[in-house]
Amino acid sequence: MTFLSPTFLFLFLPVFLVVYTLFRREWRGLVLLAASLVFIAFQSKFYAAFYVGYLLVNYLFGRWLEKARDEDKSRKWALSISVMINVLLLVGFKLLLQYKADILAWNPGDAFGLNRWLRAFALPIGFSYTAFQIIAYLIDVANEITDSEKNLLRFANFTLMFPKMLSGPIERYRDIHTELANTPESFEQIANGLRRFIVGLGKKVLIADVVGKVVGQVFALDSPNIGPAYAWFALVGFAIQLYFDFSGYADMAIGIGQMMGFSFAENFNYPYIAKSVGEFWRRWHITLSSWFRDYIFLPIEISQRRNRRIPQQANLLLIFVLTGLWHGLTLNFVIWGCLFAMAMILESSFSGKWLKKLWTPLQHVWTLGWVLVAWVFFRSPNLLFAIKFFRSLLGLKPAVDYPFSQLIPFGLIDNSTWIALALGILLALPLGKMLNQWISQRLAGRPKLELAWLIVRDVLLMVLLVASVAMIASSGFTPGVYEQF
Amino acid sequence: MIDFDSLNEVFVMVFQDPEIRISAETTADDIDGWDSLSHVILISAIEDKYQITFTQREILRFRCVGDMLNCINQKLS
Repeated sequence: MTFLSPTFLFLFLPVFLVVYTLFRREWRGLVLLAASLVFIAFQSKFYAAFYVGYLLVNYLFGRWLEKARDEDKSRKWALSISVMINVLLLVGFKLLLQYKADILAWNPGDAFGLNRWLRAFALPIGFSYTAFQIIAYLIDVANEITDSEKNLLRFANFTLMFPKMLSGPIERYRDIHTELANTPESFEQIANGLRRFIVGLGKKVLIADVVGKVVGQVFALDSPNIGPAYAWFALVGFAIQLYFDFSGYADMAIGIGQMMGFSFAENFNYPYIAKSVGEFWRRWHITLSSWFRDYIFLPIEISQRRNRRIPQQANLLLIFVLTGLWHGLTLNFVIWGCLFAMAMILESSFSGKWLKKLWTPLQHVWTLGWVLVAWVFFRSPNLLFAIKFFRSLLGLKPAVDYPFSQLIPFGLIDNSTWIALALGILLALPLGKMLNQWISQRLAGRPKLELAWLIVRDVLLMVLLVASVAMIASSGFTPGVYEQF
Repeated sequence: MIDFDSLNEVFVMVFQDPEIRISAETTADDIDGWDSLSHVILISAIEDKYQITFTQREILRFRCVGDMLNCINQKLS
């Protein structure tokens, strides 16, 4: 079940919200936990049971760390063991997912009687996000940044809360623990959450999925022997698809959180307007990049500030390779991480000072250049495909894959895809935000006009909701790109 | 005991911006160029100026300039 499945949109979410709102505050934690377990059980009942065990073990780790943190040696032991178990689980699951086909091929006779299970194996829903959330919690408890959660129900909801299971955001316990203890409620918050959810749904269904259909066809080819116009369309289209897919999911998660009284962390801040790769990473998947910054990069840098053994460039490389591996244990993701590390290393050296003095449009070209090249590795199924795709981008490869061999991409790409792409490019800029601010300033102190504008805005949102639902009904939906991680 | 004016001098030097005015609530979001790379340079500059050494846990607990100033003053007293 995803946010776009009819079961979620028309049954699970409305029923949950009604029940959650009707219950008294002290019972809402239980309602939320029950809903989260049902949500996980839709993927697998086994994983619902796994997650119960997982949260119990980490609850005990948190309590243990709090008791052990006064003594340096015990703290280090407790932290190492608890973090290591989480890392091993995450890496183990990812390895199993990556190599299950090889394991099945190597053991066709099913010597251990596990092949049926292995064939059906999928990563537990949201485990990459949940494990990172828990690791951050354990480190924060050990560093006395926060106390451990004593209430098991609150800890369970922090770990398993369903809106953030699919694609994050990766929440910090210290940021939401007060809301876990006492969830505020207001009609305004529910309304704002609903608005945010509708915007996210529209971004995903009307832009990401529409553009993604053509992008998907190109990247599903055996070998991209395509014309440069199609290659560029597919690349720019993928950049738009990925942003609207992932940020749409983030909007939906934040919106559901708001409806329940939680303020989840923002995950995006118009990343494509960044003027440097460093700035891009402060605007893209913010909760993941800040996680790596706070729990790996900074501790290494801080510990070495007087006696440097690892150059800062190596630390940057480590962070970005790990970020790549978080997405999947493949060579393409390693190269993707190395590319961003290279850009960051250049920006942290003399080139960074040079970049700051550059004409602003050229700063955008620098940033988008790195990002687009990196997206080729991110989206290509393997390294060879990526290399061939670059040749197609540069027009160095004979275009033979019909219909993508045509020179001009007008015949194949229909009007709705062009409109979705154009809208995507426009909305990737903060134009809507600026327009909203401009209108609010203009209408300040004129209550009747202000009310009229609010009504118009909500009517437009209703139209967006109807259009999104109609699109799901007519064309179906594709799972979120970041759900697979 | 040091005050914000004294600490402000370190910020001005590290971020090379004479316009910077810090307060207890100032965070990395408020100062242009205060990223993870410059954060470590800032910490080292503060340690050099006041002849103190922060522990790793102390540094990781800083959420705003107010936390920094409190920690510096605790060490100096």
